Amino acid sequence: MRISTSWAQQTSVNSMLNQQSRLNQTQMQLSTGKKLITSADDPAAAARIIDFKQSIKQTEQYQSNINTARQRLTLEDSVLQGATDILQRVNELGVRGLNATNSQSDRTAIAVEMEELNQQLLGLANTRNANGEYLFAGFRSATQPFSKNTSGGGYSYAGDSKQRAIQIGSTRQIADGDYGTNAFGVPTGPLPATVPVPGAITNIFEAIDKFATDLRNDTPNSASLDDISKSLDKMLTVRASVGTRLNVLDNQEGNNADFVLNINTVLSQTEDLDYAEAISRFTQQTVSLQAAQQAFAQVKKLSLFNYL
Amino acid sequence: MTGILGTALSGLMAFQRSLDTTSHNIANVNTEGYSRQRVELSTQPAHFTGTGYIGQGVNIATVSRSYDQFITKQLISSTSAFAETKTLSTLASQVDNMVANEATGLSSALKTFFNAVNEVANDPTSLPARQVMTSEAGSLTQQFNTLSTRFEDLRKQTNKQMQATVNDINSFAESIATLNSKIITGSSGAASGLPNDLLDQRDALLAKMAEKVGISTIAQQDGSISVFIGQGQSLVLGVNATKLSLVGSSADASHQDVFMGGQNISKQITGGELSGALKFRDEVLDPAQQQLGLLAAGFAVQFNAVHKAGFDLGGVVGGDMFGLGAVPVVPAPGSTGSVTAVYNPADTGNLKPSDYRLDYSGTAYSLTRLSDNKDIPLPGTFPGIPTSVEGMTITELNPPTGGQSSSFLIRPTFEAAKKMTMSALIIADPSKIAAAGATGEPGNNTVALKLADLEKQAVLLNGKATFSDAYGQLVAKVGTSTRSANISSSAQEALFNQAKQTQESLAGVNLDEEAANLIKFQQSYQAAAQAIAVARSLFDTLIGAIR
Repeated sequence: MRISTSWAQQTSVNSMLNQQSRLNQTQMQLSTGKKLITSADDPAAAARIIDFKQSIKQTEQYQSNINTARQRLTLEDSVLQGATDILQRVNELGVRGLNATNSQSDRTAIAVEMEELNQQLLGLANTRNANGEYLFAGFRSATQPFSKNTSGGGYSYAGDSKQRAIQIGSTRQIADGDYGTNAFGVPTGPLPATVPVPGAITNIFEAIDKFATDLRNDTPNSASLDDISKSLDKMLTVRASVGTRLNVLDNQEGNNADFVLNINTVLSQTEDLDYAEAISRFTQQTVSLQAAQQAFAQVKKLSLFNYL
Repeated sequence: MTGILGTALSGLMAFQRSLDTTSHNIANVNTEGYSRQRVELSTQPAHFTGTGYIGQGVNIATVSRSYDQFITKQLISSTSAFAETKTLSTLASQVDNMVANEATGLSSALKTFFNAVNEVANDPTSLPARQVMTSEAGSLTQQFNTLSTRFEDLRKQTNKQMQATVNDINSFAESIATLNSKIITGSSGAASGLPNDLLDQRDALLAKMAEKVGISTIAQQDGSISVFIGQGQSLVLGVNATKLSLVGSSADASHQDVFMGGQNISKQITGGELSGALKFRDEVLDPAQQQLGLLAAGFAVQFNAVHKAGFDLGGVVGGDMFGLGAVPVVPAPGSTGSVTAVYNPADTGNLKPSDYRLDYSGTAYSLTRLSDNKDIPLPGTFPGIPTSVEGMTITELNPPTGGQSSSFLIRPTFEAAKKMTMSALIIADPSKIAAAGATGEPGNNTVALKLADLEKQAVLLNGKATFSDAYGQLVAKVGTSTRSANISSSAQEALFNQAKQTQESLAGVNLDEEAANLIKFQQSYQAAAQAIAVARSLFDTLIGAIR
């Protein structure tokens, strides 16, 4: 076929430009490490990548939520640990105080220590976390939950009976704490006409107060020990539930990590470049561009006008 | 003797013309649209003598150009098709880069925002966490605004490009009409030949015009050529050219259409850069902007609805976190009455990425979804009672006067991303974020949890898509359009190259061929000159014999 001179030049230039643009695409892939430079390279994969990345980011957020929950529950656990120790000490003192060989002054001394321990316990029940939130106030986290009534005796609870949930998995929430009355019992408040009888006092502060008062009056009631031990049981139950929740967190963290790993694997298959393939493609494209350039230079030398 | 001289002279003349034409060809080797020319020679009528016919030399019949109207037509149509797909692919790639890019796209802003919401759910009383959520909400809003602005910039750029294209088409049409008139004069009358170079110029103009818009041509008897675009709208008729113009729509001045003689012919235009730009706007840019608006509107409306059910740190009920305003309603010129529309938080799933037209016939209203021209049934109680359709609640404020027919353009999604704002109250005081489910409970995070959960809720597109899905769909849509534009652009390029090669193979200049011709005509010229020398020596011999 007849070939026009300018078109022959144009086609060679066009083919060199095409090869350059392909080479450039490969070079971009190599420098970014990604198969897709724009979503037009593979629209379906581009949409999937957005999905994967969103799932990863979301799950990573759950992991961070788990850390928050763990930190709170660990704090609660250590507070409850302290409270349990105090209760055990109170129990010991109570057993000693009930001993008939004690004189009134011995019992007064025991009562003083018991009241001191009760103060400590109250302090623990009003513990705040790093944000200044009260641990055992439920949703009213800005309000001090337990306080001793200034008149009429007894204690009152200013929190509520709600637990804050934290999202730790796409369908899983966990309570990051327990409300005060759950761990320390419901106070009766200012003493009513019928004073609670030892053995039927549910609130730990009131129980210890009653025990201490009886000791001072040299009339300890052995049923007070039941109050203490029931409170101890209640507290241990809460601690067990905290421990269970910490386990759940560990479990869920493992699940989440597996999930992220899986998605990352699929994501990498979808968007990451196969370097071996890309480098061999790059070499091949470089060679063909060089060949095209050399061929162009050679052919351009050929002209009948050289011989005129 | 005079016979030899005359014959030789005719040869000299013919070969000189041939050499002229050869060097003309060489000189125009790089001229766009030039068709190589050749001198057509014929034998001069022989002289009859008693002994028979004696040849009288050569005659220049004509100078012809290598030209084939079918090849030329093929080239013109593939030029249009290629220019169209190339324009579409170039413009679509810009949107593609914009939405798919991690830095400019929305997906990372959405993710970061929802992570910040999670942190508030973890620590509802923490002011730093609320501050972070506030700034992330601000930057998400900004991201929506920026993307929308970029879409608008692209629209402006496309409009400018369309204006330049229309200007080019008008000036080409003008020039073709002028050339038509010159060609009519040049090819009529005594002159037997055709004005080859003028014809080439006209063909080159037609090719340039075909790049701008798809055309069909009809050659007329008088040598002029008529040019038609669209479905037979005449752009050039003989020596007269008609002008195209761009006119903005009454509802939105930035939506421009091509008009010819007061008639909108946008829909009829096929091929060329003009059609590529129109297609880009109608098939890529507008749908992308609508989808982005859908996401913005759906997101803001849903988020606000949950947020308003909560209470802030001060125990006050929550307000709007994102501002969006009412759905824009633009009455068509001459319409009376007024209609308003607001987003319906309970129905964002039915929000569609489309504009709507509410028509009043004089007796009843009808609603049309413009993306697919589907009629949306309105309940019989409308306009008496406001109606909830397609994610909006439409209310008639004032009926059109005197039963006059009216029309309203309702655009729930088109400008939503642009109009989205972040509550100034919350920016000033992040404690106004309503995370609690009840008043007086600062540690309550139930609403914050619901807000964080919105990330996973399929609240858009018939309850099938989360926010991130809707954005993924936008990216996939734009990517698919761009990809198919790229593919058809390279297919059309191959077809165009083929047509160009066929054309060049017929009409293009080959320098080696011209060099060979140069040698051939030079030798023939030298031979004819030699014949004159022989004639002279014959004459000398004769004179010598007499002397």
